[in-house]
Amino acid sequence: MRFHSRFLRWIVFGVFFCLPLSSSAVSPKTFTFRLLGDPETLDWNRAHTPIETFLMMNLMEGLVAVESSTQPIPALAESWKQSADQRTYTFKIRKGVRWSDGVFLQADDFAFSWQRLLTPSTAAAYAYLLFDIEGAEDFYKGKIKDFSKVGIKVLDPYTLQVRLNKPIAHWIYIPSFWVTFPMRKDIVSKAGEAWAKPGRMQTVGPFTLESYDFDSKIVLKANPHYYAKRGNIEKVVALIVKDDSTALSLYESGKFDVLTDLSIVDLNRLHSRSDLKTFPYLKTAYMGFVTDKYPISNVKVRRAISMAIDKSKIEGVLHGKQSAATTFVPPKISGHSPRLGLKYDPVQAKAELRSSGVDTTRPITIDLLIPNWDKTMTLAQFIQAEIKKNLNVTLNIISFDNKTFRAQLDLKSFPIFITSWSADYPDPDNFLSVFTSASGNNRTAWKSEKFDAQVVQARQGSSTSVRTKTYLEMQKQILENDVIILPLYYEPNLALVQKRVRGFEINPMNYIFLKKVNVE
Amino acid sequence: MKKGDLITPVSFPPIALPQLKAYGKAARDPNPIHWDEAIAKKAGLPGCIAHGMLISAFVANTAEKYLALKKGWSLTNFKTRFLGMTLLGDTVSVQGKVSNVTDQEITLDLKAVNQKGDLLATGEAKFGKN
Amino acid sequence: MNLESFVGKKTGTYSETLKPEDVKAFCEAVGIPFNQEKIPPTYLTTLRTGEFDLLKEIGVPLPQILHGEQEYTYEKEIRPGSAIQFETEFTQVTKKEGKNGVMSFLIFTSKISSNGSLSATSKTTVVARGVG
Repeated sequence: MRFHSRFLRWIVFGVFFCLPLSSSAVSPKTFTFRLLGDPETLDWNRAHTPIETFLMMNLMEGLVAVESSTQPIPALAESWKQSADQRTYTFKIRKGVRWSDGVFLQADDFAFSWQRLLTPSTAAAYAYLLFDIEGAEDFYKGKIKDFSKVGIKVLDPYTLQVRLNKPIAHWIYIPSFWVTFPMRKDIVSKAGEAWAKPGRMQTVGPFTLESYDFDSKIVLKANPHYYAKRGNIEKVVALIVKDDSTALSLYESGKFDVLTDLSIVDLNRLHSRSDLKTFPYLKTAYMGFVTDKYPISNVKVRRAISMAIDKSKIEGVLHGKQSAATTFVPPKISGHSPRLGLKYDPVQAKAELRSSGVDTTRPITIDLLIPNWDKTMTLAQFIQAEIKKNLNVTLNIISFDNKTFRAQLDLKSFPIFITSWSADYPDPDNFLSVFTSASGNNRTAWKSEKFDAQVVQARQGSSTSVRTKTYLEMQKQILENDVIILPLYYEPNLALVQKRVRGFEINPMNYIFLKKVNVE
Repeated sequence: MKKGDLITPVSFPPIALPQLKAYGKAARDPNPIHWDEAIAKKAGLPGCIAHGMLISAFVANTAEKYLALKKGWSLTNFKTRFLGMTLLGDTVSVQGKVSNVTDQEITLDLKAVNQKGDLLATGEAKFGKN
Repeated sequence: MNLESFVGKKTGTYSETLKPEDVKAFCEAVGIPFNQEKIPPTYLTTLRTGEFDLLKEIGVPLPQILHGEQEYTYEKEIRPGSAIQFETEFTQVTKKEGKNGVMSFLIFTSKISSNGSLSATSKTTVVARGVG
């Protein structure tokens, strides 16, 4: 019986190896995709833009991964253990994993990468992601010179141990970030800053870098040593196409397998097509109030504006399958509630404005700051009309290019702005910590010591139900009591996907994993 | 299905060393008494003995197979107690009866015995309506 | 040996994926069919890592222990390939003097979760001969 089944297995193996030659369904394919621009770097310690993220997630892997669900799953770490005091993580590195040149992956590759990420001269934008590790911030600031004093230890070639300063409920998401992906000391030492080039760079993920022509295209090819399953994509051609209409015509002519980043102009036309696919996205667009700017400094004015916009109409204006937002935390993660926040109520809105003490007998004009994208402009004009109709208040739309817009946000010079927040990790902490006093992303001029303390307390809590309760309380405070922001809408990621493409998805963190894709 | 119904006894193939080695590896049991005769004897055992949980796997499988006839029920609780040693060459069979039936729960009482009728383990399996 | 002082000790949380090929190997070894929708009920025995780690910390040598009883409570089915988390706690110890000397009955409780919610609990009784 046993002998028989082993014999059978060999026959099955034989058939399997023959298949790629005889069947087109599993034959190697090229996947062609659009990139909006050139990456600023291919060095994953330094990468920080969505263009780079797309490349990193397909070239490399981390200790853990966040793929289809919002739970971290084992990737290059086969398993891990968090100590009872919640401060030590011990990762068991998967044995037998090889880099694209055949070299075995070891724990040292992580230690080298993390040390380099924390080295000030690397100038990595995301170095702070490791600051919860013992000694890491001091090493980054030069207060510690000896890296062995940092809580990152290689216990043996396949065991990496990390010690945190204090328990952090969401910390396990950190090693899913591309900046923490392993790196080869031998390659970086030899090539220096020029290591991340075709021919030099070695990768451990499903693909490896074949070529890069600046302002033209990046080609990836299948990593022959990849340890896990991969679909039938043998080559990925990422064409750099900045213009939306050129990109769309390349898709329509069948050149692109998938097209993401669709413009609002195109969406208006495409929204009922069967090849337009929808993917959940952890993103909240919101209106922010700079609480020290008159007349927004008056909480009743903020409440009036919040209740004067019918958010259910946004989808009809933006055509991107948006839904009206309630909490700042979007659906699918804890801390979201469909019942929190001020509801659309034009009668109550008028009453709030009348009782605010602001002189309503004279025309009221308030500046609204936005980036000059078609989509934000369309949204701002809709909001402008709602506020005019329901409150007889004029919003004066002020738009800038994205860079100037960001600078103006930091200056907090305009009373109202529109922006959005999308998750870096699928945890409510990533959303609520935006509005802490120390946060560089808090552009509302609102500060609360109680709120700051709640963020810290919830971050260290281990019970999901207790954490969720805290996050809901905090949102009641910022949305209903103090009204520092008005969540506007949640929206999915949309992409045009050719019928021949199977298994394509954009995950809730806006990551694309081409190892799951097959092209017929 | 009613209280007192007997479960048709199920016999499993004789316990052999390759099976214990394969099971020990798959179940991640590091104890050498299951596959190294010298170590087993040194520990005062008559020879290599089967893993208790291997016998439980037989018991649980028999219970699930019996309940599979009745759709819409799934195992909610499984308890097992180890009472005797299973040696190489022993043939294990599982028998039992339905011990309780309500609208929401069915309980089976099971036992595993060797070819001599010695009791190796008892089991209790509760099934709940899906 | 003062085993009571260790009661309440927890392992911390382990995370791993229940690999389909491992589940398959388990089914083959037992001689039962592999079901890609759910793991066999006793597959949870592969998660005794926590118990072994605690026994080591407490100082009970492995050759002196016997598996006495096992209980599993299932909240939802676990698919092969699922990423799971589990934590084990040393919850109870009772000492008995018998004709063969002293024996201790140690109880370990584990909580197993997948996708952020509880999937199963496990209660293991091990008998430690000559320990107490």
